[in-house]
Amino acid sequence: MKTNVRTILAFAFVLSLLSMVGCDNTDSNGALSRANVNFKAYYEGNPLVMNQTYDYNGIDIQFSKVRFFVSEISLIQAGAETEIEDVEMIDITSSNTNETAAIAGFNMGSRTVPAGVYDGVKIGLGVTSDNNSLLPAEFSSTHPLGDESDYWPVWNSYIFSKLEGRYDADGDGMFEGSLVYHIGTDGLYQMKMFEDLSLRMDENQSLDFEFHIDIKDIFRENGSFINIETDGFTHTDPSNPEQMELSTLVATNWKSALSFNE
Amino acid sequence: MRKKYFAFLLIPFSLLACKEDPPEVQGDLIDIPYTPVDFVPEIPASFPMLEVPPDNPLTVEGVELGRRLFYDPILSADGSLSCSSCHKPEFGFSDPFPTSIGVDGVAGTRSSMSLLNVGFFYNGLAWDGIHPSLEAQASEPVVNPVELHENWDNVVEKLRLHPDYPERFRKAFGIEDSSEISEELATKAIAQFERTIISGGNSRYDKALRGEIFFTDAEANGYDMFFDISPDMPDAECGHCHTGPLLSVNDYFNNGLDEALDLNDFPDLGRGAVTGSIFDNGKFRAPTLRNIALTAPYMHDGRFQTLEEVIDHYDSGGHYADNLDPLIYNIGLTEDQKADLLAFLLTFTDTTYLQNEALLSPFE
Repeated sequence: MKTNVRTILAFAFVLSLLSMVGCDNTDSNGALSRANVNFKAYYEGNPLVMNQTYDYNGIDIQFSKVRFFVSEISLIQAGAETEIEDVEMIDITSSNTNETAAIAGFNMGSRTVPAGVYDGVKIGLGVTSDNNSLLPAEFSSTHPLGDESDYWPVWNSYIFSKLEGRYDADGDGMFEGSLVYHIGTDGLYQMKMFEDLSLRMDENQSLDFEFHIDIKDIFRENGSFINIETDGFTHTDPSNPEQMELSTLVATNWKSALSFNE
Repeated sequence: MRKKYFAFLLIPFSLLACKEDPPEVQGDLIDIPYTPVDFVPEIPASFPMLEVPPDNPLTVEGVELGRRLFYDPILSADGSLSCSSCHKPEFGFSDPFPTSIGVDGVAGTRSSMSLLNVGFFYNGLAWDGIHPSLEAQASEPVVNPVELHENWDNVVEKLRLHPDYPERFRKAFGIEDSSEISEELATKAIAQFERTIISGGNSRYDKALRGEIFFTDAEANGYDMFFDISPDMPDAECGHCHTGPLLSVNDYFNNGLDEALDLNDFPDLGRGAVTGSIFDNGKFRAPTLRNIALTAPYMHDGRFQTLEEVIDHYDSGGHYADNLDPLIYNIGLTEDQKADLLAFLLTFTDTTYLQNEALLSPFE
């Protein structure tokens, strides 16, 4: 009788283990899949081409630089996170040089992930405080954090995003107005979650991950858009309340402007 | 029968005829020891890491050979000029003339760039970034008609026949015969030396950042404007292109030197001629500001003789082009503020590198 009880208990134990494995949608055998991560930039729904003229509420505008850091890109399954990238620079300036290239977007490359079914994606806009406490000189020139031009020593911070361009306010064909939004400092790091997804990552297969960002949405303000003639400039100077207010708006808009295309 | 023997004899001859002449490797250097010693450069604490190509590690022997080649007019057609002719140590390894004069007395179109800390730069070298590496860059002035105007075959021949260089190439690169001296090895040696041209850590700027001294009021005001530290002072926008320990970034900008109503109108296309992108026309590399007081005249064509002129240019907002950098605009500094900015720029001066004899000519 004792033996039978032990056998039943052992059987139940094995069954419970199997059921636990069954609840976990990641492959426990170490099977791997790949995520091809891509960022596409738009302006009012059209692929954003650098130095091309767009309409900004009646003003011609051209963008010459769009680049931003992303951090902690993770896949989520039942609350558990699998990080696929610590930090990367998304340089739309270099990728969106013409219409064809803009449609293709910025290819961040492929990342290996455990096979399984994921229900969410997490992405940080900017640089985590841990990384932000470091200096470009501590990295190689090929590392995303190794470029001095992306660091502002006065803030002791990386510049999380750069949006630069010129606009023609008086319509004379000369783009004499300057647009410069440089956003940084720990407080403006933005984390975005995309939930209720169903991302099936099969073994030895790859899945395209597309993040979209519409640059026009970065300018939203109280149901309208930022007046770039009066608020076209911020370096996120912490001692300047007006700049901080604008930078905070741009940073939160940047988060809102980002979407995930399943 | 005799015909058969004749044909048989012809075969080895024909084989020899088809074969190229064997290189004249006689091993004339093989008795010279090849025991290269790693060269460890002294790099200021705040500087980035020095990235060295795996196929050209720094060695004591390679750096010394490079130094000699750098200062030796043997690289020029008439033996009158060397690399150092346009990159003089006392001028921050640049040239005090707007554009340098070559061996034929012809001036080039661009100002000689400072070589201080050049080993730390990437994303293309020279004003337009045309050279992917120091090794590649070192090759070009030798054959440039407005520079040394020689050809590498001649240079290599001169080096092979030289009483001293074959032994130095042996010690630096382990060649076994003088015939193995090549353009590749010569440029590698020059690049090794150039990576050791390091300056930093002893300027007033460095000392102030380390808290060892205080800026004067004028310098502090200039620092404020340079990096936009407080809203009480104007933002001179300098720190975007001249930042970090090298006071530079590895990028290219149109800083408003020339008006171009059409982007093809620039007198010098600069970066655009390299990338082929019209939007890069008129853009040039942001140079280091370390020792900027020593490297006059300024800009890619040496058009400004003084730093005062440079400050006036940036304050004015420069000239219009569709790709004018948005950080270039009319700032409106007062004369006092310009003077303060100049005072700050002078804190970048650090001539201690001139006391390092390993950077100076071995022939003087």
